[in-house]
Amino acid sequence: MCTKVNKGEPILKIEDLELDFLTEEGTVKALDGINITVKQGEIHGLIGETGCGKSVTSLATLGLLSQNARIRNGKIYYKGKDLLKMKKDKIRKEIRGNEISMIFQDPGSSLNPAYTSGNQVMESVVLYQTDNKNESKRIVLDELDRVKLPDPEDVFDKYPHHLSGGMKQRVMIAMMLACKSELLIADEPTTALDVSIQAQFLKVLDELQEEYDLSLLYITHDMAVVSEICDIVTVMYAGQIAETADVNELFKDPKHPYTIGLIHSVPGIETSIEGFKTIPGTVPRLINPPSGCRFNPRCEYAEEKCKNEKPQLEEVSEDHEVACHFWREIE
Amino acid sequence: MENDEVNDDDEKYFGEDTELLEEEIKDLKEKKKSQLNVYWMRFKRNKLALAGLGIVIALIIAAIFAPLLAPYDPYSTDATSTRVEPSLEHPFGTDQVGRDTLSRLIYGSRIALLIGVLIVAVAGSIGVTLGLVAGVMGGWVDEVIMRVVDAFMAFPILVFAAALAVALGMGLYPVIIAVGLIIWTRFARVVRGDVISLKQEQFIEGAYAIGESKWNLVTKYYLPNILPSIAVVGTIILPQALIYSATLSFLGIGAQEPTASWGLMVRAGSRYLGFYPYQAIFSGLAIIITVLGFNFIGDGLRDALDPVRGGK
Amino acid sequence: MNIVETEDLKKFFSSKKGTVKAVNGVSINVREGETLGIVGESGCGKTTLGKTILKLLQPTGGKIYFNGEDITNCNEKERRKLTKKMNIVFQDPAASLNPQMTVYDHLRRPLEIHNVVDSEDDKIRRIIDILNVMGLKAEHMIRFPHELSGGQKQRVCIARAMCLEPDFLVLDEPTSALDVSVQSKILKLLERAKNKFDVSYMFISHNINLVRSISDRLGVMYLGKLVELGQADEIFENPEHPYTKALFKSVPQPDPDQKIKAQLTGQVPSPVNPPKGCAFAPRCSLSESVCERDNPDLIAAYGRKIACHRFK
Repeated sequence: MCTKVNKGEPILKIEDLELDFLTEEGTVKALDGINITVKQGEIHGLIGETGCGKSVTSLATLGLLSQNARIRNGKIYYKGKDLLKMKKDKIRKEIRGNEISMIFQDPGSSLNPAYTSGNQVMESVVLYQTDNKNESKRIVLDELDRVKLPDPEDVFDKYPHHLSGGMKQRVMIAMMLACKSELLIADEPTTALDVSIQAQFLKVLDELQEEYDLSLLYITHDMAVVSEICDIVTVMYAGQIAETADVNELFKDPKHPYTIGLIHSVPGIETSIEGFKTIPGTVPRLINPPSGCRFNPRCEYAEEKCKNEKPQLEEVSEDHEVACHFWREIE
Repeated sequence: MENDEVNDDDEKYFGEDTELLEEEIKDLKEKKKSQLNVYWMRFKRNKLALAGLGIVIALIIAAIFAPLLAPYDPYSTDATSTRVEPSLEHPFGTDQVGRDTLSRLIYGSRIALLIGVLIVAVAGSIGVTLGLVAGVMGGWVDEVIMRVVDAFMAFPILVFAAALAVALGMGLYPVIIAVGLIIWTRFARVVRGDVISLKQEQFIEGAYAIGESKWNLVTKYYLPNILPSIAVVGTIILPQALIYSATLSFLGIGAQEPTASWGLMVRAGSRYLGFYPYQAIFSGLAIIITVLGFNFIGDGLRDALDPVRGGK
Repeated sequence: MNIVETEDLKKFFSSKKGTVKAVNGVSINVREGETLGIVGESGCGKTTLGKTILKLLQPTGGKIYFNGEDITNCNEKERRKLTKKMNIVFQDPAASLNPQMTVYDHLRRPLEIHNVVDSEDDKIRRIIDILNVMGLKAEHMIRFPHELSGGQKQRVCIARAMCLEPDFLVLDEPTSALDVSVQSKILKLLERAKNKFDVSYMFISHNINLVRSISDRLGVMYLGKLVELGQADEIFENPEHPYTKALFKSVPQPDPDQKIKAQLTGQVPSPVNPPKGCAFAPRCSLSESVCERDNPDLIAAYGRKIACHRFK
């Protein structure tokens, strides 16, 4: 896995991924043929509401799906190799934690309470960089410093429950840097953090991404955070991709009716309640999802075609694709 | 009701769109049916639990229809056919005074159920009440009650039950009271634990915020959420109660002749185990199978109602 | 007229690490018919403030006035009577509802507790009315909480809090657990309900942009104290307190052209043993020696109240 990908080329390419979950109540059709491309060196935002499938996508990439998951179709290319065809062992050794790292929403449960944080980062260093104990400790302190932790020596010796949420998240990034991962997947990393801590975290993440030329898949439901650090954004709805666009394009000129509705529901874009627009109806259950475009029951522009045919992603302009039959007719 | 002064634009979005609500309601109706189904499906998956259910149903049928099912009167003796080998006439043989074992076993199911249910009732009333009081009041009341529980749990059950039964007199009812007075502690502990974890729930805080009195909190909020636990404890305690009372009968305390009680039958049969084992074996088997049946149901219930703890 | 007024309100908790001074001397008021927004980060005490005002928690010090009356030391019975006039909506709608009670059960409790209906029919009529106002249908009455979506559950919680037409409602992060598209519907609903029932709101949230869209006046809290209080628009246009300024600058805006300008360094200190003097001094770029010595009072300046030594 030492292939080098050049900046701007795809490092992760998810193609037509279809995923079901078998449950007591029926088959949950979690992903309906999704297409996402993350290019090297970009921060790619993945946004959507409950049940859209954004978390599941990341778990599928890392081979962390639960027992009752069934991949019906599709490919996940990492640096050209299909992860879905790779042996579980190889994924564990070479991909997970090494090439691709992940940080989750709740920093508390990602760190082992029985070991100091320094020790945990050292684990990664010893695995992926060097065996020498002194050398690895120095590297760890370096990484802890790089994530702008105020007192790396102190943090090294502390146990996770002595660290705040924001600090724990930064330790996670340090671990990721220590692994020399090239692709980082972050699943709602700041949802549990205070505003000011979130701001610090985003800044650190941004700077590191630039310095190390990392590729980042940033999963969130928070439009404001997306506009803060993402270059490209993919909007998901009920297991389908609605729209993918450059972040400026997305906010200035959204084409998908769901994206439009979503943007007008965000406080900050509208400053008074009267200005909020609402999308009628609710997110569908995925056991018997709507046919065709899954947004059709709630869409004011929907017609017969929308129920019968799932819209494919069409190009609106460079760096802007939308999956909607009637995007041209929408104001 | 007065009309909303709301402009047309908002009118459409004020509530949820009616059309979509209809679909949701249909969806929910199906979901409601399937929720109970989900419990049943989980229970069904457990083969042992189903077997247990079968056993208990058979037991209940035997108890209700005993007069129809039993080939002989359980009390009629026949000096000419004592300790007869199992045969077509007496499929399980006869006892020392010629009473048909099979008939006595069938009638014995009534005693078994009666004992089991009554003991659980006694233990349940004491245990659930004290558990609720301890959990809801907390503080020193909780401490005191828990120490009482500890004290009772330290007692050797059989010794206590035997002493109590002797003090209260021979017969079935003293045994029921005695065993009930000991095993209530299991209810108390489980109920108290449930109440303590429920106390943290936000809906309890919500109920407090709308002005519910302590009494209503207990009856309307705590109890309905504790019932599944109580049911599970009940199905697990019942077989234990049966074993205790059967053991006491075996020791001569509890049911007395000529009652058709399984424990008593084991006692009688054990005397001549060497040359006529059938009485002891069949009555022993009846006890074992019944106990296992209830245990399996208890396990199955627990897994079905709380799949987080049970295996998937 | 002030619906709610507090005077140096304090609420302390004792913990293993020491005394947690969750609310440490807050003097605040909510005027009739207004929405007072309360913002702050974790540990600032905003939730504790809301609950203490409603007497869900017993204040450690200071005073609370409701409709002019001193309720600081009212007993449990009086508090329950007050729940008719003041209530709360919590953050997590799923946790706020009793899984064993239907929507109907939840909504009739307040009516029954305060004896406001005469007949069963009246009860049902009133419940259907409030359901309709909240955008739900009569059919929803028979649903259990797990048969409702997140947004619907929250509507039930709001319906329950409002069915007696209270004067004052604490809304503790009422939309934080909901999707963005559902959030906007609930906010519109709250606005409409406020006008219909003539309620005053204390809207607690960590989402600054959200609070901006709904508040008339705004209070900013830091480590158990109010640092700034005044007209919401004015504070958003021109934050004066150093913490407020820094906080607002840390908020990401949903606009790619607006990036976060500066960051607050460090983190909020623990509310156990807060620093002497101004709690924000250690992180404040403008702090002077007096800031570390004395705790600034909330004083009037620039048409609002600010707790900072620089404004004297």
